[in-house]
Amino acid sequence: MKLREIIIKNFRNLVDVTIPIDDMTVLVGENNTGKTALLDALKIALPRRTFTGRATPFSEYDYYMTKMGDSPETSEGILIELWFREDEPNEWSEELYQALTEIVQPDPTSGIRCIGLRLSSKYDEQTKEIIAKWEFIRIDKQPLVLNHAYQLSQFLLYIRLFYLSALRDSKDEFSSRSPFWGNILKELKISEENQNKFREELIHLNQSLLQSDPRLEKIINSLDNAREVLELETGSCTSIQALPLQPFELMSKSEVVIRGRGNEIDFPLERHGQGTQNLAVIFLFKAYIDVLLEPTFERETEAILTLEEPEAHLHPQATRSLAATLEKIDSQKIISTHSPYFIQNIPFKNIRLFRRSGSSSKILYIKQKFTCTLPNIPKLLTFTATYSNKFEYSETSEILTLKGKMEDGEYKKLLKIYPNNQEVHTILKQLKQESQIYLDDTTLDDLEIYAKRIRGEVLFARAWLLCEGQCEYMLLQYFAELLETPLDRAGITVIDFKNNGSAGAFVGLARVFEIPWLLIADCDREGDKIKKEIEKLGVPEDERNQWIRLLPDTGMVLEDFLIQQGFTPEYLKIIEEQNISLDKNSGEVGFKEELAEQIKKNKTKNTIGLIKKLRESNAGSDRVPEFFAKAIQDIIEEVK
Amino acid sequence: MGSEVFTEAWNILNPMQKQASEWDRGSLLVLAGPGSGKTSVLTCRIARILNETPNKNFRILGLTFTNKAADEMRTRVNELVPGQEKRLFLGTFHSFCASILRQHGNHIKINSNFRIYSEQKDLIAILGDAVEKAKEKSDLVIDLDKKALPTIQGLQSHLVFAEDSQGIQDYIKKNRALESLGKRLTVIYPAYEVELKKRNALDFNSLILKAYELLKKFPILAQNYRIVYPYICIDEFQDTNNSQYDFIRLLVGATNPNLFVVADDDQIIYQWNGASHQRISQLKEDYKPEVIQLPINYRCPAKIVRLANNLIQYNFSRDPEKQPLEAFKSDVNNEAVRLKEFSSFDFEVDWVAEDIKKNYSSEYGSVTILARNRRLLEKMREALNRQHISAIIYQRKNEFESPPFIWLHSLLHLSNDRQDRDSLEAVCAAFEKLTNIAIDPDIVMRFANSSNHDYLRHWLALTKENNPNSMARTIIDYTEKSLGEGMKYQEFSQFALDWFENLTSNNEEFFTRYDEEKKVWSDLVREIRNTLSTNITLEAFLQELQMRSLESKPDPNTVNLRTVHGSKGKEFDHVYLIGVVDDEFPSYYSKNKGEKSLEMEEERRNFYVAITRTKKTLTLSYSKQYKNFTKQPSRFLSEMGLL
Repeated sequence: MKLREIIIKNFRNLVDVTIPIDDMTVLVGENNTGKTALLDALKIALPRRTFTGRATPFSEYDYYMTKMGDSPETSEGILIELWFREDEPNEWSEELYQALTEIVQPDPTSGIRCIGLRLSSKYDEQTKEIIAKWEFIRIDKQPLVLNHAYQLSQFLLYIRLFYLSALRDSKDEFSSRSPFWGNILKELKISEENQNKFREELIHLNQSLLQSDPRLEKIINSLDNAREVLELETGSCTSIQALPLQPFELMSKSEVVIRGRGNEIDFPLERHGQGTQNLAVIFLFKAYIDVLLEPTFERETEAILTLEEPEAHLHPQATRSLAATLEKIDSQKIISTHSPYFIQNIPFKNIRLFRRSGSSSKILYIKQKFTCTLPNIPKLLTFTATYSNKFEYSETSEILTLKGKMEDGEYKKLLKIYPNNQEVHTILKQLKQESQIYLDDTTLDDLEIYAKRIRGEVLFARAWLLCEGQCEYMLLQYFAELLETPLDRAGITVIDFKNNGSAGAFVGLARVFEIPWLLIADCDREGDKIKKEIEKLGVPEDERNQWIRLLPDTGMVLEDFLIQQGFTPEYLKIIEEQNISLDKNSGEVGFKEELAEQIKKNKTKNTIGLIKKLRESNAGSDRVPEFFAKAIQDIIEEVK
Repeated sequence: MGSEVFTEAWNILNPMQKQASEWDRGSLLVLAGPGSGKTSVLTCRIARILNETPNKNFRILGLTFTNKAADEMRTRVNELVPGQEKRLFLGTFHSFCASILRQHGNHIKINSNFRIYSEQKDLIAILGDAVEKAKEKSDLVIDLDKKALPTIQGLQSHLVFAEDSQGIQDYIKKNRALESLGKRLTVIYPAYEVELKKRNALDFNSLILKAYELLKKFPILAQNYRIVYPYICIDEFQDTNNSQYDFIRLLVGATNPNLFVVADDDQIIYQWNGASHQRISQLKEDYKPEVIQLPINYRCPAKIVRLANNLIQYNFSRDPEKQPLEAFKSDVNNEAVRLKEFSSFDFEVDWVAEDIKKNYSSEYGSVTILARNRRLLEKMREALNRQHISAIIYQRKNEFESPPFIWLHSLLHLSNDRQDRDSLEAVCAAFEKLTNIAIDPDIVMRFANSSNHDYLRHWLALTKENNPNSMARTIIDYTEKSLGEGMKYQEFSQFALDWFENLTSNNEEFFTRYDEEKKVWSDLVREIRNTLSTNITLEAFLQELQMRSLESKPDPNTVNLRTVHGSKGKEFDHVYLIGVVDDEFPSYYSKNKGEKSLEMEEERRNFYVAITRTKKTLTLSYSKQYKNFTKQPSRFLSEMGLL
């Protein structure tokens, strides 16, 4: 049973968000944008046991408040809605469906089953108290009239949420009170025979313990993965060491020891660095899922792991490797991270970008589907039947689902289905506009492949400065420096799109994640191609005019432009140093062309040379061509 | 295997009963005569399946004719296999359909908190409103159409939908050959539906109709139900009507369902409601079930069994392979059957009253007087009253009658649906009787409609302004506190019950039925919790309450009077069957239909059912004159060989 959607209203700064959830969902965004709020909301909505009475599980600061004088009493009330949904019909086993039938809603046409759980909390004027209630709801959001408390307790047998906060402490997690380690210890069973043997053979205690329960070895192997990630050393060096005499007592005091690199002594976990401790906690969870989830709960029970900043204290390679290992854990993962390394291997589709917008937050992601509500009329059904690969309509919920970008032709046909219905026309227009940010699979695949190297960085940027190649990349950084507005400080990333994909792909991505962008390109055939590509994305004309900057004159490329902008002396010095002489002299007709020709022969090297020369001459901001200065200023302005 | 109670119950089953209880997969028809232990078979089989699958989650569905039967079976199954109640749905067709609509009604635009109207008079009022509205739109509609409710209910029970104009006209042609009524109904029936919808309500028939519509439109939902309920049992199958049977067919699917049906074609007594002997033949045709007969009668004295066998062989439309009943009890009591003749009905009832007084004064509760119709029972009750014998005519009761419970019930409705005018009016009227505080519902509505449309809150506010005394104040405050969003309705009900106790009212007449209804209330609350679950929501509680009969349990010191229909599925120690003359039993109507008519056969089955209720003694009586008309002894007496 997979969690597939979360809807949150008025919880901290999550005022109204809908977030689709994948098998692995990665939350990124600056501090205070609501990542932790999302994980907390989940934790509150899926409690370990059901609440009795109506006491609210929320603290007063959980209620979204904007003005001074706001209080939970005046808040509209918190709503957390979780939708668990099959990906395919009959994905859930019959046993599971039979057990939870009262709360399951099968879609009457597709057969896809889902369960909606809603936690709402608000001030009740009548009783003058804040109340909270869990309800299972129908697809139309009406509560299923049932015994909700009982159903919740049944439901929670099948869904287990595990939460590792950023502030986790390996000492706590490995204590006997920890939900993971504690349960592992409790579950381990040692036979009577072995117990006696242990008492007699204290010397061999350690070894015997390891053999007493085959699961122990599994756990140790699992824990050992931590080391693989960290040190890439072969052979098992993790073991469990116990001291007291009674086997049960021994077990309760068991602790994990890890042998450090180049050492021959096993150190308890707490003597290792923060990074190792952190990893151990994560792998403890993995061990728990692997070994104990099934025997402890129902056979169908699924785990949801929420994890804050798993990268803490880890070096880049370990972080990347950890991401890959987490992906393989057999449970749903929702992970927040600040690490570019962590998301380097995470597909764009799995990323949810949190962004602050006024006093609330919004969450951006690659949308594969767009929906709107339309009246059910026969003509619409004919239309969706004809275009069934792209359009779907649910007669019972009256929702039209569009899986792609709405083309003009389709838009016009839809308008004709509802002649003279202004209200519907407005809805359709909105849907069309909304769908323009759709990224098709080819574009996405391209991005996945080419943008891997920079993916981590670009998603943490506040704005993108897009340019064709490495020369522009270097120059933009340098000019910004000269203008005393370094791009890093403003949170702007320069992307040389030709090396990482295409202009269109990046602009498309920028629009999905609502990242401001500015694109600089040569004014040649390539530049025209880029312009057309972006137009095809559905970027409105005024936006295109504002944010696509081609070099001023037709046919002009970067080197021509720089020569025109007075960098001839530097360039001459550079080619002189390369022992190249020109046929024409300065001032002669064709001189500039010849110089440009020479420079273009080794663009990158010459750009590096140019910047070096300018640095040596202590160039000032006056040397920055107006074209670049304006572009840099404009994008910085946009970020502010 | 299983508990001791289970083993014990299993061991006393006879071979045929055992064979039926061992039935696992595929379709089975159990032809069970009266008193043949069909409930034991049903419960033992259910218990056996649950016992054998302790770690499974699938459930068993048992559909019954009455809530009472379901409650009894549930209690029994719980004794046999404790702790598996979650794997059972035992209830009426209506109850099951309501649960389907609560959960999946959104696909046909039914809210989950719909209301159920069970009172005919409410429905007549709704139809009245519908006709008024329809008159504005169509010249066809006339005031007379306000009487069309039975026809609409007929359409519903034949699964004709309101929007199906052709279907409506075809139905009318088939049944009355009145074309203009057909056309008018295409307007009135939809208008009636609209009125119900406006009230967020469903009537009894539409519970089945709508559930049928849902499963018909979306076969995937039926498939899902089959996954949850791989075993489906139906009790008293012979009395299912058209719509109920079509609903079953949708539910169980076409191929080889695990359908376990208990029926007796000799006990069909709801022909007038659409039941038919053809239903059993249809079932045989549709599912080709194996048939097991349970002919041994454990209930009646042997003589009655002989009379019953004599009688029923006069019927033609019955299963030709049906075995005659076999008596389990022997003829020890020669007095088991008496036949008495009187010169007039007055003498008849007086004699019966005296006879009861003479023989059963210490155990009036063991006596039940049956008659074909209610009119005869009224006369009988008067005679009993003259002898100072406490007597009660059993009848289905749909509404509370004492002001305390009218108030509690309608207040709960109002808190569930804050804009329900009917509930508000009832709340106001009943509260005035309880506390003398008079609040005009129209004023409440006017205030409410100008703000948040919450009638309940405005009623509370206005009541408070009316200077309530401390007694009234207590309940008002508590209502305010507990019926807010949190809806602590169970605590509230308990508080209200305690509060009623302290209402030492001087107007006794308002409290006449209070004690009785208090008992009914607490019994129903317990039963509903058993059926659904303890902490059910207010909506579900009210829906279930609406489907239950509110009559009270029989009192051991009271003689019970029942119509034959009201005796269905019951058994009594001592039975008096009065008015056994032609024109009463068989009825005048059926006599007119002819000797071989279906109606006459139904009367014969009625008679068969009536006499087979008897556990110890049966007294049949007839008179020469009823209301100055000379009558002949019932033909059934001679058919049985008694005359």
